[in-house]
Amino acid sequence: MEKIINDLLEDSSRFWLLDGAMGTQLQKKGLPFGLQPELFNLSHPEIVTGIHREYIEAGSNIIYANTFGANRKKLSGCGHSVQEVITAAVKNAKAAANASATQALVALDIGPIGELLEPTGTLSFEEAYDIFAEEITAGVTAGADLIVLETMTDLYEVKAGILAAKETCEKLGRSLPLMVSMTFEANGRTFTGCSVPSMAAVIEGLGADFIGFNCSLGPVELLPLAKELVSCTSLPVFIKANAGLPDPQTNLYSISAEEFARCMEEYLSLGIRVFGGCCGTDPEFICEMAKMLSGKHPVKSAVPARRSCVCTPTDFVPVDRVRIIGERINPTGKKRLKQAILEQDFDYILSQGISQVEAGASILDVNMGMPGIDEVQMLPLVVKKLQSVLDTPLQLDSSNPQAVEAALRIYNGKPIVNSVNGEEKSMQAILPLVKKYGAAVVTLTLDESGIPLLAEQRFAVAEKIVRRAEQYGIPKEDIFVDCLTLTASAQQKEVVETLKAMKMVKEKLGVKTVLGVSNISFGLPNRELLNHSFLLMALQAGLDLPIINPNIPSMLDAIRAFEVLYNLDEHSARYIENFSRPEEIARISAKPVAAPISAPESASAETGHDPLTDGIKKGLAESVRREVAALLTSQEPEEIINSKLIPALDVVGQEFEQGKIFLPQMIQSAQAAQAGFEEIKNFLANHPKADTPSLSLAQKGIVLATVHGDVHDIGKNIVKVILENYGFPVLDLGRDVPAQKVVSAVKEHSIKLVGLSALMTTTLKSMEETIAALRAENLDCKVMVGGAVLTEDYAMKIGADFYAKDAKQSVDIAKKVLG
Amino acid sequence: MLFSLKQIPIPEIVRYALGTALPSPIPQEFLSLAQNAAQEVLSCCQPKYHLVRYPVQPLLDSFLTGEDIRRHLSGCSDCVLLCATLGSEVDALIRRTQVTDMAKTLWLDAAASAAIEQVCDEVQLDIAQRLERSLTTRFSCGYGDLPLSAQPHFLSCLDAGRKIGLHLSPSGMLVPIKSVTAVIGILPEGAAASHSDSCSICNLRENCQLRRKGVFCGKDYQ
Repeated sequence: MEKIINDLLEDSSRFWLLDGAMGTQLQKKGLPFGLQPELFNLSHPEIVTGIHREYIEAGSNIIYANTFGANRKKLSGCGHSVQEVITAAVKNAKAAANASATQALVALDIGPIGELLEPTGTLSFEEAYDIFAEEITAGVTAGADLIVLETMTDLYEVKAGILAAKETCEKLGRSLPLMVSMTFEANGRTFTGCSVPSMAAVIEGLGADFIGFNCSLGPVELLPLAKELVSCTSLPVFIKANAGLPDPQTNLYSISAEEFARCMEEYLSLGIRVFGGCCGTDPEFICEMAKMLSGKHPVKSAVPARRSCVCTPTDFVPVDRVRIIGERINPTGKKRLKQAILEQDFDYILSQGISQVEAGASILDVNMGMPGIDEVQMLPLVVKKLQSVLDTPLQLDSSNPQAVEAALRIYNGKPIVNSVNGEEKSMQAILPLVKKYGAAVVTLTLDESGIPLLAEQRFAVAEKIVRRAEQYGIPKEDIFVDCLTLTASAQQKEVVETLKAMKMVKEKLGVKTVLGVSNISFGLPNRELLNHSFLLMALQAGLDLPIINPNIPSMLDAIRAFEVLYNLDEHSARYIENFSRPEEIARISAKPVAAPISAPESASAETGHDPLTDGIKKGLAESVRREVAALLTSQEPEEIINSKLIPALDVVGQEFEQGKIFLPQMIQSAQAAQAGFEEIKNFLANHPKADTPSLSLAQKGIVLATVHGDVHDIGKNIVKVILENYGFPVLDLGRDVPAQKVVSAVKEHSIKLVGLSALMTTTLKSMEETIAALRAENLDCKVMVGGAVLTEDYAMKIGADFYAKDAKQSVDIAKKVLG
Repeated sequence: MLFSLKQIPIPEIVRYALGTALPSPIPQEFLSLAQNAAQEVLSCCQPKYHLVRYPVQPLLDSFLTGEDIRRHLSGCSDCVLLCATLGSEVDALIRRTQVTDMAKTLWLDAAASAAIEQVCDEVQLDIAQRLERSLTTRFSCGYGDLPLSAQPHFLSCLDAGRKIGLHLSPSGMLVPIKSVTAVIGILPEGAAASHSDSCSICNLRENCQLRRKGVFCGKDYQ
């Protein structure tokens, strides 16, 4: 049966007509306002079947069962299970389809869950997957012929839906065709900012059979978006537009059935052959479209050339010129990062990502491989954290296939996997994952016998992997070959072989190339010179994706110059733009960058005060960092903290309490002090044996969390900055934190003080539950709470030990509890 | 519907950031920090709104419960339900900035709060002009004795998810964060709007830090 349906759908010589709106038709036939349309499947099956029948009679060959919102979230409390509602809905649709002469097909219709996924909302990817899997199990079991995901605005939710559809079908031993349509605004983006190229890259990569738009706009406004979509996918495209735009006063739609059909005619030249209607359409619209299509044949359109790309929903990066992959989120050889990973200091890890993107990285490599770290758990966690603050595409870097899969699964967009190599074991483990999750992959030119010395041999390995990948259905545009940089100090002869191999791979296999550049200089002096020179040579040999540290200006300069000289930067536009920026002008003329704040960087000469204290009071981070670095040459870290940093912060805290300075100024001072603490942390990471106070959690650690259900965490983050700068190490559990997670953290690190925040009255309940969970375990820890609607009385009532009215007070509490 | 926001009132941003009464004059340092934040928020937000006109009585009979909303809408036969959001991009900007610069985050958050209020103010002005009627101030869930549990009804009456991408988290929070839902009464012809002292119905009045300092947290209409 499925084979027949698949063949029918793939038959490019025929049109398919979907149906039109369901909800408004139900309302016309008596669905009370506010009642869930899906419940009519059970209470009024004859009405639902009647509407399906009208659509089929009008010409629909595929009807959507009345299951759009039949998920466990939306049905909760209605007294019926997902399975009950969906089974009835499919049965009602089948009743109409089976009675028709045309043998219409029935689609299981799946709309958005209705809650936003993390990081904007609180619904986890895993839960979204479960919700979809439940609907799909019910629909497939009930006999749906195909699956539709529609009206989606979040590409992450789409990914959960596609994976649920594919894996559920596989589990049930079925293979139903899958259609996916998203809803766009006139600005060419969805509500969550997803662009058309990103949508196409992800949905096609994950293996949907049809891609399209529904709802959104009228046929006139959708046409430019449809043109864009057709140009960036090889999948067949389908369109279910609204009946024009709603009148802002009456909410009625603007165009008639005839006009609608006339507008849709314009889509034929794009090669589109599957049409339907959304809001404001009815069987008449389908009937008019059937008339419009009658006697016509689908236009055969050329499939657009595939292009190499990676993306997140909001950042689409085509590999059409040199794109930098930032190398710094990799603990190998980086002590401070290793420490951050071990302590789960995510802010440090994230700040490494942010600074690389600000410097010019288009993609970030993420590697969590180090002793003592479970990559399978850590890699996806860091990927989620990075994706909650950055929309830059990521390169998932691990030699552990389970870690690769865990990260691929929850990655939002199309990533790169780093890496596969020519070993049989590696290809068998990695390539199926790359195919399943629609990723690109870095291909290392080595195999069981190691790294071949000669270019020809490395080419042979590359060719073998490319061919094998193609057998798995991975197009060569998604393969980035790494011809491997060898260290010049150890294998000087082979440096040029890398470049030769890269040229061959590029010319003969037509794939993009990637290369970790910095390895070239290992063990030699003036590494920057060698890195920079080798980068230029590699670019000339055809390197597309250099993996470098973008925070080293000479590396970026090399790329900018290369693009001008190779005519890849038309009219030197990017080059000129970059070197017109004030900070770049200052850099090339070797003048110091003007301070962004008008106050003098070091005011101590005027006031006669200690420069470090002054720097903190004025909030001058750079000045404080310099002063601390200088002090570290002669003083112990502990002395600097206790005699300089903390007293300065105390003065700031007093001035805040007295109303002399305001909250933003107190935070600015705390951040300046933080720059000093960061300098000390770096020092400690590099001098582990020094007799210095530990800044680890064991002694004075504080756990902070914004409670379960709450996403407003600014207050908690302010408290964190201030506490950290009084020398209290903070384990920040983030926002929307389940009570049990707080309990585990307290146990694991023997924490003596917990700070909880909640913004709204609805989440105070979670705060109470968290405190109760801590008490139930008899943990020897105090709890302080804060938040906009909280009062001292209420804090005591829910069992807290302390109420902190502001960030300053939380420090006083911490001093009292922890000393 | 997409909304084009041109500017955010700078003193409002400073007021939100400081969380106290505005110093007078406002120090130049604060004005320029607020201006920078306004620029960043304006260039990244995607404001959207949607509104529906309803007769008042059926709403009072269903989810608009409590004495305060009844008093607020007294004399109005119709009202407007409004939802507005800056979109998820601003939430993302604030999340990103929090990692490296909390002081700047505070300014961005203040600018975003002022921005969503400005969107609502401008939309409200536009409604008043189109209807040629005066309107009450905006009244939202959680004000006075109108419970937060009314929020799901607001969103479903407005079809807010589909119209502007505004959702409710399971704990009753609007996401994206910088969003507003409100009911606005359409006053009878000839009636003028009055701005009452909102502290009188505020649930936090007894413990309010601002009120003790004689500061009103809402916009000053005088």
